[in-house]
Amino acid sequence: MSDDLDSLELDLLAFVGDLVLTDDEPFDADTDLLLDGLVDSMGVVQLVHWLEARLGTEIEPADVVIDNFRSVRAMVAFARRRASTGS
Amino acid sequence: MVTTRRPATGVGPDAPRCLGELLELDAGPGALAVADPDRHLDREGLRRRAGQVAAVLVEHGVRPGDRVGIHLESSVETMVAVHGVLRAGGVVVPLDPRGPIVQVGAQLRDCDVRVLIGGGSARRLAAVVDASPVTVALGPDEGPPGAAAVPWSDLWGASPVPPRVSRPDEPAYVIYTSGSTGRPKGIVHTHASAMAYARLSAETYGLVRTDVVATLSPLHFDQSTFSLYAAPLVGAAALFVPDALLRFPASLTQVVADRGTTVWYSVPTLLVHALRRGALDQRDLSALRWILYGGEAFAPNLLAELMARLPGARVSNVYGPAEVNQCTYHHLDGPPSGDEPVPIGRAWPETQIELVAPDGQPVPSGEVGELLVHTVTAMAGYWNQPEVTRAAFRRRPGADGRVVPWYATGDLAVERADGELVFVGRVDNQRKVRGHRVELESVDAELVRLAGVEQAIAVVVGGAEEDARIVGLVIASAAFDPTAARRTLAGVLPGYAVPSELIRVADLPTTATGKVDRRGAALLVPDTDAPTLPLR
Repeated sequence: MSDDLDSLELDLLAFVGDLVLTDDEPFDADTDLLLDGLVDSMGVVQLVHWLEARLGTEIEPADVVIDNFRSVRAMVAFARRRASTGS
Repeated sequence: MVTTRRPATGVGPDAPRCLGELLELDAGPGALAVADPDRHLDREGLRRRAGQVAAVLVEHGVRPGDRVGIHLESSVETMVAVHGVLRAGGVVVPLDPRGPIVQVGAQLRDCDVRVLIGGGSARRLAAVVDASPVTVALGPDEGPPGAAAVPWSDLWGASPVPPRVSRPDEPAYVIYTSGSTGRPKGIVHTHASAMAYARLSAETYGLVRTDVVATLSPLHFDQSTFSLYAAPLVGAAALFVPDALLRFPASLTQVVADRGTTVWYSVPTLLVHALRRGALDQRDLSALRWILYGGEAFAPNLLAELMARLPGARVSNVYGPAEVNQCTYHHLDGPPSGDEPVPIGRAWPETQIELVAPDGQPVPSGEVGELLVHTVTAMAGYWNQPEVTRAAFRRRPGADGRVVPWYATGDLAVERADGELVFVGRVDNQRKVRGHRVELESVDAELVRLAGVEQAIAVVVGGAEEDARIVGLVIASAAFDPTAARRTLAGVLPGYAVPSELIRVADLPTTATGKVDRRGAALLVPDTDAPTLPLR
């Protein structure tokens, strides 16, 4: 499981890279994906679907909040919290 | 058929004469005037800051009638900036702070904006300034190359100025919409049409001082005028949320609940997202007394579900193209039953509506006609485009027999036996995607410019449970790269107009006249349960 989460950041960066539609805005794990609209509402839905498939578990709507999805790093932290609490 | 409503009740002698005077009325000590998720201002604070923005604008050469661009996320600053411009006698030009630079630049050039109130990244602002005649930027700490900057912190040292009194026929704001030709069309509303809208909407929904009005749509979308102008007219508070929050229904409903929101106004899509993913069972929305929706139809089954979830709120369907603000309303008495579409309702006060056949003759009740509207809330015209303006209006007799301008909406409607109007479609290829107007021809035009594309057409699929989205069907050579193509499109089209998918086809169906058959082409799009990633 921890191996799985270790590669999550890289996998997410690759996935988000496909979602982001601008070439000229470089981004990394700390980039605020929401600030300049790099990821739109449909992108958020796709991110949630992707994470659910990757983690093999459903994500509660109440967990799909800005703080958990603002950046790739925030998403990884959210996944780690879920793994450690066994939810 | 002509439906006419009686004039609205008059307003008192102290009523504001123009949008610039909207903050002058006293709403009582400490009355909340504007809020966002992080900050708020009372009426006094808002008036003072708007007066300071006005002072700095005048200092930087803004004269009555000059256009001032607003390039900000929806926030407390947005309200301050808009009312600052109006108090200076300027004309507000709301822009999409995440729209393609090409588009924003074209809008700024179209109405010659020299002064911009801007936020966002330095990189973004620099690109906007570079693509426009802007020479002064209010907001950023450092000037983008080519423009003088006035940081927010400097603004708060200025002495506020009182509002300039604008004449009713002077322009108040310009909202842009994309035309089918690609040239932006700036919808010009005057102080008269905007004040009439503020007054009629405040009256229709019985707004009072204690209301907290949340228009949950971006600033450059015409729904925002409800919060910007109708709320302050009665001393109510306006809640603004940044665009990012609209993408997280559970975060959005939390802010709406925390702020004690009493009126929610948005496109149906956002309400469906709130219903599905807004964690409504964990939110206290008991203060909510009105849900207004507009911009597109609400699937009756989903609306019924929403109303069952929020039984304390009344629901109203708002109808009216941005050119006329609003012109009809339909208050629901209860959840819709069956699949019957919810009517767009009846004309609101000081408004006449007529359904006409292509030859201009009124159609009998029960038959489909184009909806024409003559109203006090109608635009003056499109900025600097007299021919397009003339084409948008029909001159025909009003209720008293005098010939007056009627705005031809391009919307097809039918009058039910009970007098309620029902929207049935469009006379052209304009479609709504998440409430935004998209002229499909303008998407076609960008599709055929892509490398490797020989022929292409844009269609709208989905709706109801699944968000409506645009799909591009292309006949293309091997050189065509869908991922690169979508990036190119994102640089020239607003986000909602960028096809979510580009599907390569061998052939496109044609009509009897040899044109590509859009309806037939839509059938080539495979059914999907969820939005999919672009083909690669």
